[in-house]
Amino acid sequence: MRSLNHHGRRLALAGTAMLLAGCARNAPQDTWKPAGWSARTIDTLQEPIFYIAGVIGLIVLFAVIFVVVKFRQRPGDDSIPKQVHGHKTEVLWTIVPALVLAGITVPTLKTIFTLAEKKQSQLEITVTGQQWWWSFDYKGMGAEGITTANEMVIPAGQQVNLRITSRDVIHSFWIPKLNGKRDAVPGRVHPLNMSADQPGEYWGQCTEFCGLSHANMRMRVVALSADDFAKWVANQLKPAADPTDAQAISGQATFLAQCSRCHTINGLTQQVKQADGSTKSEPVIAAPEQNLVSGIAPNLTHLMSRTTFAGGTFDLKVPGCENPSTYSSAFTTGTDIACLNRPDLERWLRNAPAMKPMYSKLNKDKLYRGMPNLNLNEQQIDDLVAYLTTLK
Amino acid sequence: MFTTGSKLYFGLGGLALFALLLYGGTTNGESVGTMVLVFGFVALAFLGSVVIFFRDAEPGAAAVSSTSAADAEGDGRRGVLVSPSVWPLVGGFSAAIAAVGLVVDTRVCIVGLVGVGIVTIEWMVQSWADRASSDPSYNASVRGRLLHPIEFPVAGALLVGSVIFAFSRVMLALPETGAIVVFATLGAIVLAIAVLLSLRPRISRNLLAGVGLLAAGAILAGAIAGVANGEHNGSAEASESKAKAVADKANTLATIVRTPAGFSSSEILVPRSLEANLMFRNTSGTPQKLVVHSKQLVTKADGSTSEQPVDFTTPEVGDGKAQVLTVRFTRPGTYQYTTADGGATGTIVVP
Repeated sequence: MRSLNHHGRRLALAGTAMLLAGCARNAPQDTWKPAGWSARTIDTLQEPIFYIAGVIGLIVLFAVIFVVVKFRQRPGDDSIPKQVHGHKTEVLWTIVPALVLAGITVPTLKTIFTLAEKKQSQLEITVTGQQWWWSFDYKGMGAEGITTANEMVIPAGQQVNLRITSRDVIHSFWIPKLNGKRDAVPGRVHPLNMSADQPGEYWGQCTEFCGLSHANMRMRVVALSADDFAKWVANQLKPAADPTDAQAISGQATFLAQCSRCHTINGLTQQVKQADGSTKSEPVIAAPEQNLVSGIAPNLTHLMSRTTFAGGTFDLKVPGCENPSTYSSAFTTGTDIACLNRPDLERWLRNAPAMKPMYSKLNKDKLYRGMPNLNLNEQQIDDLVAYLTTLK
Repeated sequence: MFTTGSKLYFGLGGLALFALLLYGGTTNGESVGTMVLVFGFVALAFLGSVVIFFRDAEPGAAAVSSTSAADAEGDGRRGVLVSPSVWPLVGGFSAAIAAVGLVVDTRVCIVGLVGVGIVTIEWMVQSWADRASSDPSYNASVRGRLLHPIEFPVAGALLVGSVIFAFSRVMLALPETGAIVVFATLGAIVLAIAVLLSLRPRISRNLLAGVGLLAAGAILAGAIAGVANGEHNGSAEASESKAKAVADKANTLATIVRTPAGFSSSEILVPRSLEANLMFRNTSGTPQKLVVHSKQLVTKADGSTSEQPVDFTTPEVGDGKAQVLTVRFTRPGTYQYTTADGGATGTIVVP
């Protein structure tokens, strides 16, 4: 009896916690507050069905409780109750749910076809999932295109066509306030239309189990006004500027030695000795296909134009420096040294697998999944941070 | 007149004849398979005749009457130590399949060897169980206790897998509208049968078994027909591997159309290190080949690396036809794609 009360109390506590968690205000991934056309279309379908299902669920629940209580076995009564076979009842409780389902089917099918309609858009973005981060490639943006990670920046109020795929295992792309889930499957391209009504930040995460850090594979969609989006694009098209500060220059050297095996920075060059003894400046091209299972690592050219790192898991900015809730174009100014979340960034550079579970050992093909521990010393870490903060 | 052994052989021969007619009909008499089934039918009919002639190898008229009486009673083996076994026959077939597989395909040989392995275990256990006591039903229960926990799950999984595979072959062979009609009809038939069965709770097991057998036969026949006819191809697109045709068609990253004037799109974006399908559609009026010029990093013996050109090429694509080309760019940059005659050029951007 004591054990039953003890377990009952625990159950009640857990249930209360779950109930209260569902009442969070301004939850960033709240599907009940759609902020874009796709999410609103889905919400228009699911909300009435939810209420209908809730009512039916309550009816069934009370019916079950009634039957369980009224016809429970009385003490001392071991007789088998009379077995009743009621055709009419059985036909009724088959036909009524079938009719309810048929009624739900029609708007559901209509919504599916509406969401699948291909809409013309000026902006097409290839969304690629890989363990454990998202990359976004913008089509038709300059000679070399734009590649970002973790944050997909789009113009507010404009339809965007996404083409979703994967480089390794199956992931799933979901920004709850903007769209329904869409799987990212290697070898397949899944289209998705999306738009955000207003400028703002919309959070999402991977929703298909994809390995050790599936829970740490997050992303944000940042919707900007048309002018701000144009500013963002113009900035992204610029190559990285060479640092002028001595520590940042030293950090660049560390980057070349340690990080450029996998990470790309557009415009980064190095002096390469030629056969005749002279040196020539050549672009540094990373070779992640020789080091990583997915064959790619985040492009860091404009790292400080983002607000997160490590697959959207950690904030680049300290609390108080985030974009205000009434969204402004502060996003386009990026992260500066005053707002930088230096402790987390340093911890990441010190030992990335300790912060985010990843396979820190080489596999049989001598490739990593995720970022390995580079065993940098503190001076190298400080220099790297100084260099990375120049990548605006 | 028909002994127990002959019933087995003639029954198998009947199955072989049915399979022969079905296979021959759906493949327009494809030679190898049809020949195998013809010889199988002839061999089984011959074996059945031999077994009738020798009366199942039981000497004397008493054996004839006891055989017939046993057949009539349905149980003529009370007190006989060794129960009849199908395993020698299965073992013979498995060994033959393994032998054929040595010539035809390793996988067929493996299937045969697996069959031989299964026969060895089953026959050994049956022989052991037959010596447990003089009561055949007790012996059967002993054998069942040992092997049923393995046989039932495996048989169930094989049955479910076969049904699923059969359904998938039927679905792949049917066009979209046909698939909807077939499976809606199938669902309606299943529902109708279920309603009929629910209205007649006291239904004979034989009827239920018959219905189940008919359904299994229909699914199997559909699957064989589906495999024989191949996957439905709604357009004139081709693919190097037929099995990839459906997936490739539905999952192209970009489409390159060669018109008489050149390429319809001059720039394509392909993310780095991503295996991407490019659909090449030729409407130029003459056969064309698409060539995509790429680069990859090669490590030399001394450990140094260098970029080497790599070309991805389609086979010649006729006018009005299409072909999927799978590419993977591991190096960023801009790359050219052209037709083999150099009459058109486009750019692929790899960020």
